[in-house]
Amino acid sequence: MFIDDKAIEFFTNNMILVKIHAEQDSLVSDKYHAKAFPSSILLKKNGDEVDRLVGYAPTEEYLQTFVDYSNGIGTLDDLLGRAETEEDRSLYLEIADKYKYRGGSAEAETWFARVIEAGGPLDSLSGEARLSLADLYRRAKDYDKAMDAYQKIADEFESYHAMDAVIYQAIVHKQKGDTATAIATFESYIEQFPESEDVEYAQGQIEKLKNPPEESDE
Amino acid sequence: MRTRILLAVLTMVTLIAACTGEQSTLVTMDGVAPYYTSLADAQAAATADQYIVAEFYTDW
Repeated sequence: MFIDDKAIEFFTNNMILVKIHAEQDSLVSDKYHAKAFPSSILLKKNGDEVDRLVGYAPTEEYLQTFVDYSNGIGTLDDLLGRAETEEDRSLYLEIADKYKYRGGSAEAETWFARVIEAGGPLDSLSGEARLSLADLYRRAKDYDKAMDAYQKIADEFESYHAMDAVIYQAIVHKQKGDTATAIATFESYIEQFPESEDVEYAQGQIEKLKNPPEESDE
Repeated sequence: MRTRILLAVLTMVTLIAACTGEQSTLVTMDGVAPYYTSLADAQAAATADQYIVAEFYTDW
């Protein structure tokens, strides 16, 4: 809920806010391919998407993003136009992410590949792109391909990319329903990266996997 | 006389809306930005050139 005065004013006098529970209104969420939460999508009155913001942002930044989108700034079309004249791997990554969240997997793969090809295969941006590619496969439930991609990142990178790759391997095992391997991978993650800020998350996951909530008979 | 007719019309519109069970999903609370819980309602409420921000969320 937006309790900030600026947000109240904005959604009273400027744009209209609608909050959609993605599971309860799956027709609408499927139509807009809302798979990452929260996702905030700027729409025209006729329902056409202008662009979207995935994740959380401070209120002022959140509102400004939608004002910019409504003015054609920072939208996918805007970025694609810039990419015609600018060689900027961060820009390519941004475009790939936009396609990814809209469900344009093929286009996203193309742009992630451009990020990797235009730089060193093991530099930071390539690491980001490779993690995003693996995430793309995971979201598409292509678990074998995702696992293979995460394993290569874990083997080839030493930075936080490797750390992310390992925890996502545990998540993939969990999504596949392989509880024992998921627990073992989360435990391995904690052992390998005891200083990680995600240790608490991993511990919580282990706890949930070992003690799943009992299903109600009702 | 005109006032009576207007009141009668308003009453009928209200009654029809109540009978059809159609309620707006607009949520208004003090200190909170107003929001709809139905995209169709938000689209109906938007003026021709007004934008809608649709926030998708889950409980998990």
